[in-house]
Amino acid sequence: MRDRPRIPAARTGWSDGGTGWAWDAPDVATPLLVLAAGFCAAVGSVGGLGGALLLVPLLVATGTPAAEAAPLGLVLVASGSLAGGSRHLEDRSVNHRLGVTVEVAASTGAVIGALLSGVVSETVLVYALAVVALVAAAAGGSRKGIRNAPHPAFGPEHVGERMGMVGGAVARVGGVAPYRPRRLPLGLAAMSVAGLVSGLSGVGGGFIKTPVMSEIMYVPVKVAAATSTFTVGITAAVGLLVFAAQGRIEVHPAAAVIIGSVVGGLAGARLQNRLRGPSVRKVIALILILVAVMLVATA
Amino acid sequence: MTTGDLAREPMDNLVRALFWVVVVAAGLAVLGLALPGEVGVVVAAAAVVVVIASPLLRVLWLIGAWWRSGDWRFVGVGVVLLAVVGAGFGIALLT
Repeated sequence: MRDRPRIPAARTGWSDGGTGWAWDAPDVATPLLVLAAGFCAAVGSVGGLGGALLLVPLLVATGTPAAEAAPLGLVLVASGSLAGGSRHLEDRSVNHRLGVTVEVAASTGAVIGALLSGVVSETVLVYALAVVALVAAAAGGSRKGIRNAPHPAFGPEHVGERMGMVGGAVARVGGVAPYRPRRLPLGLAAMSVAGLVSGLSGVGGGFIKTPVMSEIMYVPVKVAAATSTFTVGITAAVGLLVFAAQGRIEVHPAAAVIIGSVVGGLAGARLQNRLRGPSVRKVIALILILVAVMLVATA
Repeated sequence: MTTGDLAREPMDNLVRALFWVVVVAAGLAVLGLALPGEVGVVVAAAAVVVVIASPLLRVLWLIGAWWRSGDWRFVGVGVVLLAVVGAGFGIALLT
């Protein structure tokens, strides 16, 4: 296990090599796993991407089997979502009604994807993920200008979601902008594809959900990122329930990931609050390109 | 332009609850790594359980809040979501 460096070598530091229940000296890689999780969670929280799509290829590239990396990726997504939740609630950028609505489609897709996961070749899936990431990067990065401009009739007291509908208003530079998601049926169809990809690959799917909400449904990017951060937590929890039932979650590396992702998730949520919409879009586009490169490299 | 009544769910309660859940999860994770032997494993496992349970409990909390405010459409959507999640988990266990 120690013949080449691998970030989650913390596993070997905590187990007795057989039962996995005995104490051993912490491996030096445990801090590295915390740091990697923190970085991925921060980046994922800024872009509403979840972070698993960064951490899982990173772990695989450093020698961790994909079957061990996938549960850690979902732990990162769930705990990063948890950590970013308070901040997104405080600035009322998360739209729960929209999130729960799109998550019905995404979760349905995720269930179907999980059931089909043994059929699709892993290499085909990795290349498909890379293409999706590049398309999403191109869509978000090439857009100019601001949709949902601030409206003079809206003040800070109007920020938040609305009763009985998926629209709302969000604070942005220059005022408060009302919004109403457009093309909901197309958005729901795209969300079910996002869920399908998530179920097939074991990632949270935020890298698809955020661009879908922003570029197809015309939801302001901050709302899309905050809402996506909320929904990927649900997707990750469902995946982790399955992994837990299969006995595939190793608790000590998972604990290290939780520590890193809580710190990173909090930092990312604060950073997102200070960035302007176009800046967030550029950050997301750059991250998606990086992810596509990592995916192709690990394939 | 968006019209309609501003949602009035008591989000302050959820903010406080999420803050403490984060503190508990991170605290358990640190303790789980620090404590030796089986105790450390159990405490670290508890941190993972907190992380898994919290998003689903958040949806439950939202359904309750929407129920109290009479937003029946989204009560229904939330229940459907939990049903899909439950069905997916059940199918995964069976297969």
